[in-house]
Amino acid sequence: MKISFKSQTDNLEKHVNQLMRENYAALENDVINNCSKNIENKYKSEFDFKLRKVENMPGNKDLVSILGSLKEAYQQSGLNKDVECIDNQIKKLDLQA
Amino acid sequence: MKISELKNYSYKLNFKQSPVAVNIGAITGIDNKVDEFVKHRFEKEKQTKLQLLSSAVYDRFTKSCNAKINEIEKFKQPYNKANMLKSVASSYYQGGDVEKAGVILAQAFNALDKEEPYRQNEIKSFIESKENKKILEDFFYCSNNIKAKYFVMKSLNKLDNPYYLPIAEAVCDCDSQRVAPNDKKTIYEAKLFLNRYYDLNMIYSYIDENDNYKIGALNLLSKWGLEKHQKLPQKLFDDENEYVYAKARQTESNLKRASNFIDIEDDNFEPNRLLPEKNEMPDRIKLLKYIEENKDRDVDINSIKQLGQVGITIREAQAVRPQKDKQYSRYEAAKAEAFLKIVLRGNIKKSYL
Repeated sequence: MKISFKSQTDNLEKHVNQLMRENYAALENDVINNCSKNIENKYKSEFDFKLRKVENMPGNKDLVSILGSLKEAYQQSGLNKDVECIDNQIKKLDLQA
Repeated sequence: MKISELKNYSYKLNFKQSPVAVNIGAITGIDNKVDEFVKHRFEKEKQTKLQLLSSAVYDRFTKSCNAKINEIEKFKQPYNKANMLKSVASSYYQGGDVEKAGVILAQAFNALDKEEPYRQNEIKSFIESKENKKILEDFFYCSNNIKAKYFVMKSLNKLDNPYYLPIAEAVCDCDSQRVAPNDKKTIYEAKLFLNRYYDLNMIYSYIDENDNYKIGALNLLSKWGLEKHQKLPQKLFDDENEYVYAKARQTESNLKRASNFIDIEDDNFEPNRLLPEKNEMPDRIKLLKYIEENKDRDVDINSIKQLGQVGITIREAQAVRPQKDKQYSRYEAAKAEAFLKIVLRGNIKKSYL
């Protein structure tokens, strides 16, 4: 009769690590799936609300875009002093960004 | 047991050897111990791991959300940008800087994309707002900045919305009660805008009526006409009335030079005019009533001109229509000009009258 040994009792550390890995993998899977779902359910609407709110609040990039438009209009209207002021503002914002 | 039976039995049992797995771990109990050890260690580390994982997931969510928020280009949609510029214009206007308000509002119009999907109604009410009209009317009344006025008129022409035709008319008419003087370039831009909507060729059908119509038509052509309208004054070159002939020559030369202007490089403009206390368009209904009630005697010429500035209906045209049998007079010619303006504005064909 042939006899094979299923586990290598002399390599317990390897065995333990393997089991730990398997457990962690299951845990990770569980956490990522459930946690993502929970977070989405809990914060998605809050985020969407924030997003909509932000749409109406200009940031530096947006200010530069608006100032660029103003500059163009002032340039064509001969308002040269205002063009200089706007140039300085744009520089400041660029530095901040 | 008989040998023969034994043979059969051995055949049934099949003595071929099959491997037997011996689980030493299970037999010795090591497996259980390992399981328990792992379980214990896992439970011990589980909370930390769980926290790490969930905060990683939360971080990932927050990071991606913040990235989305930062990436929003609020003014990617032209309407949003135009709206922001309009707010800036409004606050300048409320602060009393009419010139900047006008310039920025024109830039807001330039920023608009009239074809932006799902926004047609919003864009329409954005453009055709009373506040905008007031800002631009006041701007053209006050500003002596020739460059700014050219920029604003060019933007209005580009915007191509009939709501602002009255401003273009006032610019073409050089009506000092409504606009400060403009240069030829701005006036030409206003003429281009008017001619998108008014068909000045309609005037042809009226000039045969009498000299008053001829002079009225020539006066109007000098103000609103483009190079392409030279044919009408040319038609009057062989007119018996010398005054009509001279006027036709003058009008033709004005039309020829309509787009002949020099760019102004000087940025020193006269100071802006102060806003009048009341700068409103005349009331059409009151004017019409006044003119109709006093039809038997000569109504003051100013009321006739004013109705010519705002009238649009057949009834209003009839109210200022010059009489057929009257000889040339400035009064009757002014009536003819006002009449022709209403005809053009209302697109009133001769057969309707």
